[in-house]
Amino acid sequence: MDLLNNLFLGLTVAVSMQNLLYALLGCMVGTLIGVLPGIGPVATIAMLLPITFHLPPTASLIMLAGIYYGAQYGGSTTSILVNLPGEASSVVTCIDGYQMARKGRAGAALSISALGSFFAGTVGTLIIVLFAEPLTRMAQKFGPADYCSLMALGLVAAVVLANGSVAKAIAMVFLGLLFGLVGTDVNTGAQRFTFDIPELSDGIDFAPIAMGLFGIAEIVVNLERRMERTGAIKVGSLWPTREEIRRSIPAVIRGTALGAVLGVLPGGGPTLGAFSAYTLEKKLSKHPEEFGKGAVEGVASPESANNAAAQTSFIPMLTLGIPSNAVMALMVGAMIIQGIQPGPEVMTKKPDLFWGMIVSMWVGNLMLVIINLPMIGMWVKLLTLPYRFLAPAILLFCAIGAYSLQNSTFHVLQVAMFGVLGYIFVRLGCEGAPFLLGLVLGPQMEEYFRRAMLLSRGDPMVFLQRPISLGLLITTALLLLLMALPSIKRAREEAFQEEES
Amino acid sequence: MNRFLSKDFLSGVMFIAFGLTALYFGNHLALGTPVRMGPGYVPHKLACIMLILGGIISLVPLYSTATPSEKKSIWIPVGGAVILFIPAAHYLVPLFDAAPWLVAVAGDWFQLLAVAGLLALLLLGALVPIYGTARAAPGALEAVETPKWKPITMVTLGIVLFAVLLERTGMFPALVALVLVASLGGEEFKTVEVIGNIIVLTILSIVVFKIGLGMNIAVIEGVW
Repeated sequence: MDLLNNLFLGLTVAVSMQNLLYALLGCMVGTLIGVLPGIGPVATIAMLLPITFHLPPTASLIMLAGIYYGAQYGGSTTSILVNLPGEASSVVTCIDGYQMARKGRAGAALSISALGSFFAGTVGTLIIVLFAEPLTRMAQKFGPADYCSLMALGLVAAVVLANGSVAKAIAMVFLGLLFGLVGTDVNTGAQRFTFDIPELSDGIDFAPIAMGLFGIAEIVVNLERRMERTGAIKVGSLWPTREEIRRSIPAVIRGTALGAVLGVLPGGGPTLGAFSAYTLEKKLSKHPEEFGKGAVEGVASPESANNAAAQTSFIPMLTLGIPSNAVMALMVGAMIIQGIQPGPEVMTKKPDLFWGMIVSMWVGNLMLVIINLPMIGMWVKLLTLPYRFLAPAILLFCAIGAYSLQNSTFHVLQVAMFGVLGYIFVRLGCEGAPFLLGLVLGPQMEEYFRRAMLLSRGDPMVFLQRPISLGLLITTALLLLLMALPSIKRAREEAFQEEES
Repeated sequence: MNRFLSKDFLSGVMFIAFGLTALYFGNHLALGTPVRMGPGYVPHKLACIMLILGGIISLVPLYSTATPSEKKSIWIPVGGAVILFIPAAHYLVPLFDAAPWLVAVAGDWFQLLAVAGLLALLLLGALVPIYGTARAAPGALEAVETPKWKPITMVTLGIVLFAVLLERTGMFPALVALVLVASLGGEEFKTVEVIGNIIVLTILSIVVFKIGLGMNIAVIEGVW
């Protein structure tokens, strides 16, 4: 029973006092930023990346993962209570959750969403356990050419499923790849784009870029907008009625299944999962007219879906080392900071870290249910904190964090520079996430590309001759072709319009 | 609305600018051969891709807002010339014993395509305002919002000040400068609140960074 042994190993790691503490810390911070609109998990994890440098690897990854799924919980709380989505992934929860709250069923909506999320988190964790090993074993058969094609597929898929113009997103990926090349060339030792700045010879550090692009740019955009605050609503009884439970159980199961599948896809993740689950529920329901007026399924299903997707989006990152969204790109960055090269070797070389992290996700989900339901009142009070207190605090954490990376003020200046760049990206409607994915994969992709070409004696046909690589490239091409089809293009635009409104 | 201020056109220009920068600064890096790639091979290809993509991204919004007469008088001649230019340059340039840079450009298909895209963009950029009277259809393209300068300037200035002050004066003065300047970037500024914020953040960062993480930074240089 290899699986049970592994799970047991994971359990011993996860329930150690230190790791429990970091999981708790991650969950609390995650819930906090989930509750607060105007700062998301991407910005927070970017902000905390330098701090993880001072922690043991397992603890730091457990904490960062906690922030990610904690944010899903926190985001739904504010969606239901004050009609303010804390996160993009809980935008749909607003529709029916807030209506339930207005009918005096806020408590029931909250507990259904928490329990549904917990169920989804459990299933998601189980799926990771089941799929991690076969996928890892498959990945170990990959040659350089296959890896290169796999990365191309990952990048393209992430782009296709992302918001906005496909051409611009692809250009952003290439820009990210280009930025990833800065530094010393590993094969020849030549300095590339370093402008004789010694700090750049190791490459541009990942953390300042992420902080600038996501943290600083987000703050600036929020400062431009006036943030409105609304009074909190009474929570009421936390117990759902029998009728509500009967109606939510199938919705939770459907949401979990859909979310789990969409989470694995590159570019998928919680937001896509939640939106698709809501649409599906509305189509299947016998009372579609109730949706938008406080249908309990409209809360249960998307809430389960976003949590399931948040869990399963770890699969490609943990097994193949390929991040599927911006948060996973940051997790890869955190691993690299700790000196761990993400990929199939992690599971065999660092089983305690791998299984410990997986089990801790389940532990974290359990913590969230236990902690959050009684503490809802406190979280809601935090909503009254004005943004003008928050913005300088985030800036300060970014600045000190960047400095602490290598005790150099150059990194702080980098944060400022990439903040300006990130702001330009936002104004021009260019997404930061594809850039980040390109940046993370850039150095590895060049390495694999050069190795593949060297092995094939400079013949690019090697990418088409290896069956795995060919299959991956065909999938990539199909995805790009699909995007060009007018009907799909329209459906995609509509889907994202709904998201923005 | 000026059609050169659409989000797509400007982001295309931005990608071209990044591509050109990479080409220029990567110029001294050896390209090598496909078998043994030099340090400059991949950056060079990526830079060319940036130029091509940037060209496409910025040309599409210009084309989609052009009037039929503009399409006839500008797009067909310019487009045709560019399409003819590519193979012509590739085959003819070496024959004419041209300047070395021209051979370098035209000898590489990839780069040639990139340069052609850039040329086309430049030509169109010059021709459209001269001939074009058409305005973009309402809602056809999204214009760039006029940026508000205050928040971005104040936030950037705050971080730069922090970086400058941190090692010279210690964390506390740097923190005060950052919080003060950043708060000025917001819409409301209440002195009492900002002072309160500074006190809370000072305590918090001393506890988290100096005591908690044991970072070696002075709170006030030379004092603590």
